[in-house]
Amino acid sequence: MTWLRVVLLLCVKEARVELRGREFATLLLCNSIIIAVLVGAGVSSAVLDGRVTARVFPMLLWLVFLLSATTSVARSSESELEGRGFEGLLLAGVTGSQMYLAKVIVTATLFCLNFWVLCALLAAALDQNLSSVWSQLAVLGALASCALAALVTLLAGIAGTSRLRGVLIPILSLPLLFPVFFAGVEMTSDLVTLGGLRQGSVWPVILVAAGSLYGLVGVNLFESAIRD
Amino acid sequence: MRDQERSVVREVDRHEPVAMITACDLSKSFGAVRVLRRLSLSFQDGEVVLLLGANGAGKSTLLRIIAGLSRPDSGSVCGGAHSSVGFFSHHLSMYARLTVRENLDLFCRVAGSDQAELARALELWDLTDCAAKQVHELSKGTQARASLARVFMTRPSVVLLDEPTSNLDNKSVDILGRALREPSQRRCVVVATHDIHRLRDVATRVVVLERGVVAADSGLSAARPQISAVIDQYLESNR
Repeated sequence: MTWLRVVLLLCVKEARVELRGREFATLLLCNSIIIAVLVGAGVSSAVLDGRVTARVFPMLLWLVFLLSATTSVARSSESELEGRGFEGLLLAGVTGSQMYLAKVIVTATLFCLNFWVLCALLAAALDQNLSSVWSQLAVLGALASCALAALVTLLAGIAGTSRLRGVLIPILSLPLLFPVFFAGVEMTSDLVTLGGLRQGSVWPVILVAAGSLYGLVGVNLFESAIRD
Repeated sequence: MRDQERSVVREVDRHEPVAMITACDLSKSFGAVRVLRRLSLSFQDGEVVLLLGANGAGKSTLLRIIAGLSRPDSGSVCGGAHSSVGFFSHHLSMYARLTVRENLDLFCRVAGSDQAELARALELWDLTDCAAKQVHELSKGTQARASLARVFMTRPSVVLLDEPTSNLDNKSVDILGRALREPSQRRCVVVATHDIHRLRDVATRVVVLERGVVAADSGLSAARPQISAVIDQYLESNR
């Protein structure tokens, strides 16, 4: 069986396990909605000037997105710890890199869907019209989701069996996610205020570079992280 | 005796035991507790080894290190050429939200085994009726049977079983006994257990661990009286 076919098989397994339990997706969505509602209530367009709201919208969007994702991701490793299925896979010849890639693909998909829901939710709460930049924002969300998933999947593996993994993952990941956060905020600001990215903007490069770096480290270190 | 049978017998006679797994000077501590103390052991093909010892003697730790799921503090484990490892423990190493069939299918595919093995494993381990059930819905005994099916299905050259009978009824222990007796020159089986009485008949060697070192070893391919002597001595000392 080829290397990529194994990754594909593991993706199907990850998706199937998540669909049966719906624990991670539900927690992710609930956390997003709760944080978005709290932030939306605090920074309501009713009390802020429209221009100010447009300026703070990108920051709020990315803050809510990263917070909800990092506080929920510990749940995604529960299925592995429950029966220690990953040990069976390692013994069957699956490499840590294959497991890591499959997890990143499924987690990134969920993050991406969550990002789109959040965009719609916060845009409605803060009275922002995103229809003209929706497709570009969707691509930005997909790229950032891949970078975020690449980092938090590795950290979830490192935090592994620790009882504090729910706290450890946000603490460890948030400082490392600054490039993603700033790139996301800057590019969203450009999209909202200018209707497109600034010419010669370095932020897309920073976002892709950060994601690639997280991915490269994850592919190489994940197996060491999950072995006892 | 027919010619074909004679040639098989000659083949068996000519077969020299090959070391499948050799553990050299293994040490492992958890905090201040030293679980393994420079332990050295070698397991040959064709062996069914009973690994005995009181709680905390280091049986499970030794099996996890041999399986490559845990790292020793010092020492090394050398596997025979092309040796694949199957490992059973109370963790099951399966996905609770997948059905028995989905689990076995996944492990069968990633290990590159023949799909016919999957159907054979379901039948052999009496899992056909619960193949469509998710693992978390099953009783502990059925879960253990499913996990044992996972281990034996891919025909690994080294089979490590940590307390395989702890949740099994007598019928399931019989199935396990048949799987262990299945003649295979290119396989060694190591069973860590407290359930000596139900498994002593299948053993070809007995090793007793005590505080992380080998306290007794009946030797390679020991005769039945030697095995019984080691077991009786162990039972006597643990009374």
